[in-house]
Parts: sequence; structure tokens; C-alpha cells
Amino acid sequence: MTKEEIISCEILVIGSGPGGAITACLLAEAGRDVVLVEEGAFLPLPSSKPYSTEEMDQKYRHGGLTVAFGKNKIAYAEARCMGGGSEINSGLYHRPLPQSIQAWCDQFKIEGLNPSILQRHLEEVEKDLTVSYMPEKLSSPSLKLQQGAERLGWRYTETARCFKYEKRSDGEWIGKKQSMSQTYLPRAIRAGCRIMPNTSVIRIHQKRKHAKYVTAIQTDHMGNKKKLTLIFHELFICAGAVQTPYLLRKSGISRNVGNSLRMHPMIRLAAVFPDEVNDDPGVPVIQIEEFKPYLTLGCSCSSPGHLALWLEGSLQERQKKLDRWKHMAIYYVATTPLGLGQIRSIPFIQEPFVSYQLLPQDMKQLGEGLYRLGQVLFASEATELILPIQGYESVKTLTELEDFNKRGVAYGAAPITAIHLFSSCPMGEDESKCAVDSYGRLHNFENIHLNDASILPDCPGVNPQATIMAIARRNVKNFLSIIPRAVL
Amino acid sequence: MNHRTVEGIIESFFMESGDSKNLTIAQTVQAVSDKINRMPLLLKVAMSLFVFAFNVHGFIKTGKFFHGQTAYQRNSQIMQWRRSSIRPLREFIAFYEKLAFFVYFSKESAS
Repeated sequence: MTKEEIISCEILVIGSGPGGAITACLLAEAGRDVVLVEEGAFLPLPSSKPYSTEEMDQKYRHGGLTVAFGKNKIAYAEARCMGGGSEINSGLYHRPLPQSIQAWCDQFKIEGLNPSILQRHLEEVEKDLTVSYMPEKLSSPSLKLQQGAERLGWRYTETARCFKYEKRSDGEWIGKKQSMSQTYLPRAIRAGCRIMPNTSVIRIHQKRKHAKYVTAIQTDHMGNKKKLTLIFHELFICAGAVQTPYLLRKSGISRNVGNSLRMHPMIRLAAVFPDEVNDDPGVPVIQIEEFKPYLTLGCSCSSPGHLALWLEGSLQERQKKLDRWKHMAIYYVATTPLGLGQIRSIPFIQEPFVSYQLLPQDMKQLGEGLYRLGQVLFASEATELILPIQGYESVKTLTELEDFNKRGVAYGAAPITAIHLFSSCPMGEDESKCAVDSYGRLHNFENIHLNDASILPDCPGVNPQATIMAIARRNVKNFLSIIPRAVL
Repeated sequence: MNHRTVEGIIESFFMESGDSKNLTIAQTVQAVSDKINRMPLLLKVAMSLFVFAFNVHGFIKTGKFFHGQTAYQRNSQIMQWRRSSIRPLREFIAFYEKLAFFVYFSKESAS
């Protein structure tokens, strides 16, 4: 390792996902001296095909192999690149339900927040991200879900996306995802923010509840490592629902930190239709609203590789099924469980230990979700459902799913995944359970602020990016109004 | 030994294709091995223990470690773990199977 370098700034922001990017951008645009560090690389958005194995290798932590341990292991997705989760997600944008925001304020004693206050921030975020609906016909997997919902009389919605659409000269619409690397990060750089990719913060050094500096390791393109000391007046930690509490805990800060991780666990299945439906390379936009927030039914990326994940059998058996891959699409049920997870730092192991306990009622909820998914897909003329559950590899009638509705999903019976994680350092004035105050400042610390998914008090029951960014924006605006610029 | 065992397990999933020199299969084996090397340490340790147990089980049954067994013996051992009443053993095989087929069919459709 080469000689240590010391860097000073007014405000250090750790993490460049949706929370960190908007934080760094707004602070820099307000004239503050900001350094933004990111553990991952700064890669262009089209550096790999979305949802491909290459994208997982480049932009996901551990190549996509991250697991929460528990009675039922949950494979979760965590980004590790500039722009964070916004670079690998589908770009679906869903405002939080007003009743969820109000419930959080009541249960966690959050001051200065209510649905109409948050709406102002949502509107600004939506302008910045060009949140819009698809300009042309929806994809077939979406239309199938819509058809099924209409026949059952269920509420559904076309979810907006953070996409900018342009019409080419040949009349075709081209959409470009407005991730952080396309929006807030370039703005932050133009406003003078210094960004440092490939820089991993090891520890926060604090004295008498005041953070002084952090130590970090920066890796160059040749793999050479350099030790950094970053000195600041104010610290914003926006490293995500797992890495934020992990950094705090290994720095000796643990009060209400990493004890209340929440997720939206998902089970996926493949539906087979008589006609060709697999015409969408991305994530279709229709979601069933009927059972929100406790159940969301939607469509997933349905490439042959992803379809192969949910099939069973030998290579030949899978190949035979995949010969008809254009007739298949993947659908999911996502839930809002009561169970909680924990993030822990283990001595000498330089990775967080993540665990999650799904309760019996959570497994029952997943079972009900599978049944509802079956209902809507059979209503949309699916001829077969392929579940990744032994004994249910080919389901042709809704009756075969009734057991799930009655008894739920048994532990270990189905692969459960999660792409939305939050709430590991909840916000609010209730110091018995909240890690940060109503504006993200760590309780009992003067100058540490959290501003990412970890501070959401509970499951939003919808795609969380909108909620994360609106709350982050609100918190930064509050910070700018009360904390004067430091004299460097 | 663990590395060769894991490669052997992944190759066994594609044995029935009859084309052991298939480039996509070779790329899949390499890609899955690379992914496994990037696993979180705790998961890697847990999987290594299972691979060790898998090898010991094979040795007890056939007198050879997995990578030294015949194709029939390998398939037989994989099937036994796949159908085991012990959940972690089933999950062990399912993990490699899903990963291997995800990578294989992703590469095949891209080519």
C-alpha cells in the first residue's frame, strides 16, 4: 500500500445511490464543499446489458450472490457501483401511499413530515428524473396482467418509470433510464462536488459524539491500494440498508442500528400462454394494486436465463421448456412482512452478516400472494404456471394452488428473493427504536446524518426509490436551512 | 480439491448434452467458478464445508472423490443429494444448478 493521503472537505457523503446522489448534488449546488465517496466503480449506464450476468459481475456486490440467513434464506440484490441501486433497478417509480407516510409519522414520532409536505419533494424529484409513462403500447406480459385484473375486477396501475423517451426519425420511441449516473451525479460534479469511486470507507473515527474523520482504502485500475484519511465537518452516510448500519456498527455506533432491517420478499413463477408474450427486454410496468401495500403482483424480466432459474429438471428438460420461451413470462408476488432482520459486524470478517426472520404469518402471506397471482394469470388465459416448488412444477388449475392460500408457503419450499431493503436505521423521535431523528441526524451525535433507504421506518409496500429520494431531499433542504457553511 | 469438485458438479449438469467440448458449457463452468470465488466470505465458508461433506460422502460410497468418479457415479451422487430429505443438501445442489443454468441460458441466448 502506498503512502497515506489526507483529504479535507466541509461535507463528506458516503455512498452514491439514490439517497447519496441527491444529497451530494443538492449540497454542492448550494455552494458547500462536498466530497462523495463510493465503494464501487463509475461505470457508464450501458456498460452491460440490463439484467445480464455481465451486469451482475460489474455492478452487483459479490456478483449478485448476497444472502440473508434465517429459517428461509433470502437472496437479495445489492448494488456496488456509482449510482447504486438506481443503475441496476428497473426504474419503476411509485409514490409512497399517503396512509403509509402518516402511519410512519404516528408510530415513529416523525416531526415535520406528512403526505402533503412529502408531495412537494416528490414533485421536484419527478421533474429531475423525468418520471413518465410509456409513450406507446405496453408490453404483452403487462397486458396479460391487465387483462386478468380487468376480468377479476381488481385495481391495477401502470407504474411510471424514471425514463426519458425520445422519438427517433423512424418513429420508434427510445427510452433511457434516468439513473443517478445520468441525473444527480453529473449535476453534482458540475457544481464542484469531488467524487471518489473505488473508495471503501473502513471506519468512522469519533470523539465525544462528534465524528472527526474516516479512514478509507482507494483502489486504482491496476489494483493498487492507497489509504486515505478524510476529514470533514459534517458526515452523510448513504451507503444503503446493509452497508450504512454495517459501517456504523464496526465503528462502534450501534444504538438502534442494524436491528430492524425490512424487505419486500418475493416469490417468482413462470406463466405459459398460448400466444407469444415475451416481447419486453425489461421489467413490465403493470402492477396489481388491489392488495397493496401488503401484496404487490407484477412482472419481472423474462429473458431465457431468468426463465431457466424458475424451471426444474435436467438440461434437456429445461431446454425443451425453453424452446417455448416466447410464450412465457415471469411474474412475482412481493409482500410486506412483519419479520425483521439484523446486520452485524463480526470481528476479523470484513463483511456484514445479514440475517432475516420471516414469521409464520409472513409465509402465509406469501402463500396467499401465490394464490392471487395464480388467480390473475389464469384469468388472463395462462395455460400453465411453473413454480420453483417441489410438486408444483406444472400447475394447470387454480385449485392446485389452494393449499398455498390455506397454509402458506412452507419454510425452505420456495426460493425467496428481495430487491428492496430498508429500515435498518429508522428515523423518528422515538429514541427507543429510532437510530436517527426526524431529519436523519444520528441520535446523540452532532454531525452524523443518514440519508438513504436505511432510515425509512417501515416497508413502503411500493417500489421504494421515490420515497427514499423525496425524504432525502427533504432532509438535505432542512440541513441547509439550519447548518451554516463551515469555515474551512 | 473443492474447486475441482465444484467444477465437476457444474459439468455434471451438462453431461447429458453429450458435447463436453461445447464452448458455451466451458464458458459457463468458468463463469460460475468465477462467481463462486466472489461470494461473501461467510457464504463461501459454508459452501466449502458442504463441498467437503459432498466429497467425503462420495468417497465413502465409491472409494473416490467426486472429480475422480465416473459420470454415472457423479450423476448418482448429485441425484441423491437433490432428492435428500435433508433440506441443506437439496439446497446445496439447487444453488449450483440454478446458477449454472442461469449463466448457461443467458450465454446461449446472447450468442
